[in-house]
Amino acid sequence: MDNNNNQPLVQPVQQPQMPPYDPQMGQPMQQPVYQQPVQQPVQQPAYEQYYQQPYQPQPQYVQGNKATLGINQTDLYTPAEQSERRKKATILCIISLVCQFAPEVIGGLLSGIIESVDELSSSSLEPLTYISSMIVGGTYIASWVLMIIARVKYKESKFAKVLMWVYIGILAASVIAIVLIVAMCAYILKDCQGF
Amino acid sequence: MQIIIPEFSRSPYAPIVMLSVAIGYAVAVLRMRKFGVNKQTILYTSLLSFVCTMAGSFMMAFRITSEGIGIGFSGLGAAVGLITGVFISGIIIKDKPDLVMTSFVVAAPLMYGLAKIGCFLAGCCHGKEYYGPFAVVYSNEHAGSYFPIQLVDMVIFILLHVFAVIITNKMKNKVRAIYIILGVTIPVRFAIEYTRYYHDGSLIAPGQVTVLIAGVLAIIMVFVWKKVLKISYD
Repeated sequence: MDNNNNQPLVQPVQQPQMPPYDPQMGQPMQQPVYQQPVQQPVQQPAYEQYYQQPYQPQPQYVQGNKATLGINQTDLYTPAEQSERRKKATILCIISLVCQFAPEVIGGLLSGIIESVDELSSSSLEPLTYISSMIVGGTYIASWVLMIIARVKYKESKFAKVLMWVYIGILAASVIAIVLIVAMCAYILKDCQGF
Repeated sequence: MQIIIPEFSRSPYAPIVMLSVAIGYAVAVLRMRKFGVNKQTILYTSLLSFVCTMAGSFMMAFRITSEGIGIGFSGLGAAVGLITGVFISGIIIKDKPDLVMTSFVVAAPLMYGLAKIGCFLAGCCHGKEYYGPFAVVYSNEHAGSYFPIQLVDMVIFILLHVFAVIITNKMKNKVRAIYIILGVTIPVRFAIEYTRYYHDGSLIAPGQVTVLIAGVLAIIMVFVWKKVLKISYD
């Protein structure tokens, strides 16, 4: 095949771009450093900077990330740390359980006191009402708060997980029970009209 | 033209209030999803705020009488409980707390507005005696002809919800948006009290004092919550 255009058939191999050589110093010349364009910061609340980010998924592209390697939450801690964390989670869960069932006990005790003391006047009952309602409501809220702290801080705790589903079940059953009781009361009152 | 409400064999109040709470929570969850809040944060916050709403309402309506313990339901207690639940959840979880709080503050006027349908049908919280157009007439235990303040309440609070959605979508500073929503809602709620049947005609009736106390408490709680979580947009 003729090479009519007098051009080489084989293209020359491109040499890699070498940095300019300084003959006086005997070293490659330093490249000028250009200032990168300044990006305007997006308005974000300051709390983003110190978040614990308990549920932020780890970025998938990070090589060797523990999340991508399928490492369990428990593998992040030494056995001693795991034991310590399990102990703390269990303590939180037990306190939470006590607080969950305390309102029933307090309510029962109050009913007993009221039934046994006939001469209690409405004025003496008023402060008792406020104190008891604060205790009953406060302990119930505290039980949920402690359970959620256990779930957030000690994600690996199975006790906390079971407790959460038990509480959700009790809450759902309570709501259904209240609806049924209201419906039944309305039905009974309707039947009792005129008596 | 009058609006005649028949006497119901079973009061629709409780189912409507429950439905309005459920719709309010659904809206709050959808808004949190829109803001990109994590699913577990949504679950824990919804659970805690629901529990606090229930406990708050019962705490306000819990009464001991000589016949035993009586439990009722208080809307004001529910509102305080809702904010308390979101407040505590924000401190524990610390995952986008401003967006979580915004979602619930936006949903609260909707819950209240929809719950007023229950009041309208049941006849509770009715207005002053009125015989003009659109007077609402009851034949139950609240028998009489009244100004349909529950309907006005409902329309105003649904409009407030729409306003809250718009400003929270537009404003980057969500805490400021929360303050604006509270700043508009509290005076509106205060003004509506003038038309209630139990308003005695004074400049500030006891019901209005309760509204002011609850409003100031809500603003203080949001302020403390912002300081505790060090939320800043600077």
